[in-house]
Amino acid sequence: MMAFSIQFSFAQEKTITGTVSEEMGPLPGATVVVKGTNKATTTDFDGQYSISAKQGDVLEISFVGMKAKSITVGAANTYNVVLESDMLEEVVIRGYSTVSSTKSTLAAQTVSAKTIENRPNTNAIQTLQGQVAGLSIAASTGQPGAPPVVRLRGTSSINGQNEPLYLIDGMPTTSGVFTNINPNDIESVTVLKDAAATSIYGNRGANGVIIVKTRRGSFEKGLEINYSGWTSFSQLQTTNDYNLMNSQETLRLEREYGNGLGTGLSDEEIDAYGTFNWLNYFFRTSVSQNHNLRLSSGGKNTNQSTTFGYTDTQGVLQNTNLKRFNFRNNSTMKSDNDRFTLNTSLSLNFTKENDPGSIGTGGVNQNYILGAFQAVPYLTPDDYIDGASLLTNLSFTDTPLMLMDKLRTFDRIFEEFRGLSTIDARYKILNNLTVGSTTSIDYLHRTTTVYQAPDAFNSLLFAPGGAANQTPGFQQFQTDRQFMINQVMSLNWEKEFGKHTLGLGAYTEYFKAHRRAFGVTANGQNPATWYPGDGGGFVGDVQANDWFVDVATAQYRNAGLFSYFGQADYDYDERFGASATVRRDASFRFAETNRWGTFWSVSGRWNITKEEFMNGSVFDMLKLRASYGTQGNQNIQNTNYWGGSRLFQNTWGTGGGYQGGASILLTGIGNDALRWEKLSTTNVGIDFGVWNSRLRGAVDVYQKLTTDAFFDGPTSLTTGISALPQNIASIENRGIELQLAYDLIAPKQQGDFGMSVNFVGSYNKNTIKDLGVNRDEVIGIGRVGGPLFEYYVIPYAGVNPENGNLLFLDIDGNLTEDPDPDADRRWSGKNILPDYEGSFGFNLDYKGFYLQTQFNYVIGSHRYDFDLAGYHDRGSIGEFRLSRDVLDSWSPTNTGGSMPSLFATNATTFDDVSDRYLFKRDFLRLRFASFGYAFNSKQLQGTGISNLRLYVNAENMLTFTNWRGFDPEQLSNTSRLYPTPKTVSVGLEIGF
Amino acid sequence: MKKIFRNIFMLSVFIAFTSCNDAIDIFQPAIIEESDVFTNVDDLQRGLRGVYIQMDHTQDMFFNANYTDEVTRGLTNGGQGLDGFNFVMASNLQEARVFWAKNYTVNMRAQRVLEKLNEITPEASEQAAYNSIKGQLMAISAYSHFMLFAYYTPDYTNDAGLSVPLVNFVPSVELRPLRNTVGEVAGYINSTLIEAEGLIAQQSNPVFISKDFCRALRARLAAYRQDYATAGTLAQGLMTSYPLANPTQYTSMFRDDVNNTEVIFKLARTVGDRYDRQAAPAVPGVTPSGNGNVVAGGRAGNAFAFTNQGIAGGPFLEVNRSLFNLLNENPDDVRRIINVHPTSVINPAWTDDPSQVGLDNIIINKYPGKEGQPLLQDLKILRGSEMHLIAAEALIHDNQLGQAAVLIQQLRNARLTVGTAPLPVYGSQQEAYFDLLNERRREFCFEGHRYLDLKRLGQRANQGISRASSECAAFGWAVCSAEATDYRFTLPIPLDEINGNPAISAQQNPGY
Repeated sequence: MMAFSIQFSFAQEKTITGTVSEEMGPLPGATVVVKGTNKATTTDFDGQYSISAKQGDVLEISFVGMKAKSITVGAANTYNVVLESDMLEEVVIRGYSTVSSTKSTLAAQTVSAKTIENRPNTNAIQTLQGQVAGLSIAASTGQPGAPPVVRLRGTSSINGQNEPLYLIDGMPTTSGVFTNINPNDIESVTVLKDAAATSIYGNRGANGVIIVKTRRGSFEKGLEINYSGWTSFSQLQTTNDYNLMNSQETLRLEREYGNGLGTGLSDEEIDAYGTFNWLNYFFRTSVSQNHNLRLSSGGKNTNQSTTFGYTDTQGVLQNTNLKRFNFRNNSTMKSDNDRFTLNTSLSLNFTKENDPGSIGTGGVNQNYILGAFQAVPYLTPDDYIDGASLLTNLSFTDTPLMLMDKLRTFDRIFEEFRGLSTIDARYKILNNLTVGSTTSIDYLHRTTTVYQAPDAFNSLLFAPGGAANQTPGFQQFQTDRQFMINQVMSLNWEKEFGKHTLGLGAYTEYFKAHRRAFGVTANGQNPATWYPGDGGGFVGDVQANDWFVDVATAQYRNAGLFSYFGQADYDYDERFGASATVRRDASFRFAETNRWGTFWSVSGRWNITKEEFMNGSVFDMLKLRASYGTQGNQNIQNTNYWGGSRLFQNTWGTGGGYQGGASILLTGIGNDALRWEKLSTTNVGIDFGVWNSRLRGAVDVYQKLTTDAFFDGPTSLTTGISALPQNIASIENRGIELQLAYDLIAPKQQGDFGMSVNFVGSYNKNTIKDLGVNRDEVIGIGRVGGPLFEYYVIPYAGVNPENGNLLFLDIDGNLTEDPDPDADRRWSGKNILPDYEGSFGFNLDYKGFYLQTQFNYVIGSHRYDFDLAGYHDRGSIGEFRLSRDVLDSWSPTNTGGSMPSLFATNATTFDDVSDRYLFKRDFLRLRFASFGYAFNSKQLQGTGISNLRLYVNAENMLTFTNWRGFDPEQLSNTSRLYPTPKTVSVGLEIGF
Repeated sequence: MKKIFRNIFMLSVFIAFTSCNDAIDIFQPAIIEESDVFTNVDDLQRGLRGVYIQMDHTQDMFFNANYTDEVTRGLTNGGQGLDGFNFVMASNLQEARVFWAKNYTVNMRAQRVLEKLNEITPEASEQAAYNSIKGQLMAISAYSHFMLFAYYTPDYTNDAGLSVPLVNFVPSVELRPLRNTVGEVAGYINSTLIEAEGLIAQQSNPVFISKDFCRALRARLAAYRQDYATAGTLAQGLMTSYPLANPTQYTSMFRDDVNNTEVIFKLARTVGDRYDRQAAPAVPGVTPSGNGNVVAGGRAGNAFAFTNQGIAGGPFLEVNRSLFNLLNENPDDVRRIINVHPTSVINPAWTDDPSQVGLDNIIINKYPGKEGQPLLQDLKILRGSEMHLIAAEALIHDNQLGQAAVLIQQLRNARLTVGTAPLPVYGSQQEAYFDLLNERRREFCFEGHRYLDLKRLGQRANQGISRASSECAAFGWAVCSAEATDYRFTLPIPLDEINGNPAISAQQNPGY
């Protein structure tokens, strides 16, 4: 009768104790959970824990930055556990960090999913901003999904390609693909910087390689379901500092100057006008949504990860948006004996974008930004009637009304299907010999639909035949199919001989890109039956005129590359290592004699911490790396895969007709000496971790020398051409990069206050070494010894108090009103490319709450502010809005005015050859801040939920700068651009 | 199993290597290799057309109007041409570059087809056609050199002075020439035109280069060179072949482009051709961002308006009041009707007073459009009336003022729809030149002559840029007048040329 007390003791709870430690000692704050129950505890200061459990229960021990461990409770009552450090986990928590595996000789930096996912950026590349030392990313537009300008370690080519190569799961591609893919699919991004790292990635990797890995499943893991979603709200960033006039000031100035509406108005009439800010009409607070669902699972021999993504991003500018649906499946299979593995990735992406174009232009009837920035404040949207009414007195003053009409009557829509697939198969023929094949296919099908309604102001204005044409307007349809295939075959051999390890690899790479495109512009739309995308309103050609002739276009293009290469790796006892590569590359872009280029690299490392004399030092990791290598660039004109394909020969083609007969036309003057642009890179770097990795980081110093650089070298115009693509320039980039992360306050226990700070910075100095024979300066490009794109200017010296004219300094430093745009210009030492850039930030953790920040900075960059020039231009009086600066113009009664006289005789003549509108665009920006709460496993016990996180993210919230314009980040001297917005998002992440 | 995989691998490697040529020997459609481009006379005919379609004149029309006293700021002006009013000229400006680049490009194209032509031996039956193609190509090269000569030569009459580099061959891309002398360049133009005339088959053709084109251009060159014996003789001869148009014919010439009574040569333009646009690239190295600037090719009327004829067509440049007054001296002059749009707002109480700002909107109407396409018009290069006026000029030079007056009166009478013009009486050569220059201003306004006319005749006529002061005041800063002796009547060697050809900078024109 007493039977059930003792015999069943194994089922009874008992107290389990033990110590959790890591390599360096006891681990306080580690979590111990009894699996499947709500019982949990944390280790104390000495790493000890105590918890009650039954025999057969599973204890799960975890700690941030460590690999979790499970132990099954047996007969014993004490279980000591040693946790191993998990670099990936550390990356997750710290925000980002370098992964410098012992054997790597590369200068590389990895950014993990944690800093990419759930950011309200439609384009994943934009999220990388400031996260990688030496990787400069500048958003050029607020258009949702648009790729930013990306440069790694400076600008190394003048006319050739400067963009890094992107590899998505082994597929080489370009930045354009990120408009289509889902940032939340990305598991990690690794940026390869030096020649040792990039040379293996082929003939397109001279400007660095960005390796993107998408999420895969794991073997032996049950079904996991994760959902994340957010809603975001975007607005123009803190608006400009231009101090724009109100209606009264505008109208009075018009009256004073004698142009525009104000001319005939009395004071009372002027005072009756309200001030309308057209910024608030064309820009809006936009609301966007994003949803992601991921299912992953794995068995013994297969695993898979499937993701669905949906995003609806509305731009802050009206009529700009992007909607995207993403599907991805990544699967892995292997044979029982692990000899054969097969990785497949398949991603199907549907994107619909509305991008009105004409941004940055001076088209008063086309560029919405022009209306937003420059429209006069005394007009309001109520002044708009319809397109036809704007015709009667065509006037620039009506700019905002014309653009309102365009919003109503025009759209440019891109619908894209993009399928990306990679099949990667590997087979171990022998224990140390593996054969592999990676085939990737990128298929893009883009349909463009552009329409302009028959009653649109622009249709009526440009109607062939004018008012007699009752059915103006057009629709344009374009279909563009692009098929890219890349195939890498590899054979790898590796063997250990005692303390020596030797690896050898042989590869071939084959690339082909095909483009087939066609399109039609249907001119003439019947207002009664037309509909965007439908042909019901098309008007056919008639005998009487050629107003409705439709225009057909088509394109057939192919491109290709081929390479073979080899690699050797050597390691001695994990202390020393060396690698070497050599490759032969051929491009379709060169004449047969110059087609092939040979490039090579060598690199070495010394893992100093592996040396005995380092025992007991504060360093737990210290590695010295060095590399030198050469690489080729064949994209002569920085175009797409197909551009610049026949620059090596003179070409003739069919030209337009003259007097009814067809013509044959010289279409290009070629240079048969064109050959590979050559880049040689020297890199020395140190990776380190100190004080149990509380402080960790890397320093790299590099020199990149581009020789035979593609440059459209100016020719004498008497040759009939202005420039010829040649390999004549030489450019050097030298720089230093630093990444640092420091755990200022390491949490003693989980939930305790923790704080880490981090810094990423780079300095790059760009120098032109050569511009070809007989030439040491080219305006617009720079001079030998100076940086690329150096401004060549006449210094502006203020206002002449005598007469209100502008004063400049001539070449001898004397004041002049009439400088010589040739002789008085000089090199300024300034250019648009930053000298220093990077980011810093801190991460705070406390009891599940976290706060992350990232401040980006750019130093040493100058830009023309032509928006400001527009606000100062007296030519705009009566037509556009001006800055209050103009109110302090010189006049006979205001001889101390800070601005030139409105009647200065040399007013706008020297705007683009003087430095009057050249300003520093240096800025410090709170690029990113995230505040959130992560529920811990204790709180979630019994809910069936494995993780739950709520957060608020903010992008571009604050900018500190002296730049007066809308967005100092834009790397362009063009005015009237679409500024990038600031965004706040609210999101949640939940996993089962 | 191992063997199978090994074999598969070896096979793949084999495939990879053999398919490498497939990746790098890429066929591109729509390209004719230079070696195959011309094989017969028909091909050459197509090649000749390929040179014609590169010829453009809208840049000259815009510049000659904007830089002088033909135009003023228009109703719909967003800054178009404002700097031109300032009379600013410097080597970095497009104004300095455009004529240099454009004419050397056309010359290069003509020279390249000529080179190919010389490699072909025609059949006997094709000899005439072959010769005619050759003659036209040579004449195009001569014309290009003439325009360069006109804009960049400081003194047309000084044989030893500097003109422009002579490129009477296919220029290699390495060519970095220095300037040839006036005598050399003028000699090349003249002798080439004489040789071309002998080769060309057609005596007259308004849209292709004919024998008469060669003679007319020689007449113009001779007038520039003040070789009035040659100029007078050639012009007198052509006056007979190209009598002055009556007002109906004149109207047709500038409206439907059908009547060619007076047309020695024009560049034909039609709906759908490469110039049937607001702005069409015509100058190498520059893509115009829109019209209203000197590099914008496009429809003729787009040199002065955005979209259409008339006041609602977006006129950014309008008729300068001083020119209008000249045209309006006789309201029955067909040129008053042709050049001024009926929708113009003309202030009857106008006086030359700065307070008259903005009360006039006199809209240019020389290029209203044809074939249902607003602003599209053929570009007139050489007309019979120019020969008429060159003949008059030669007479004035010879101090035969009475005979010159008769020719001027003839032209005025031909232009009148009603009535007759009085016979002018000239008290001096200068008076006669002054009247001649005014007549040229009326006759050739917006056709690309005024700047060059002032340069070569202004001093003799004691006439410079003379804008209505009301319109100078409209901008406050605009130059109201400039002497014909001003250095800016010769364009500087463009900076882009110096960039590619540094040695030529030592030969820059005076004043720059």
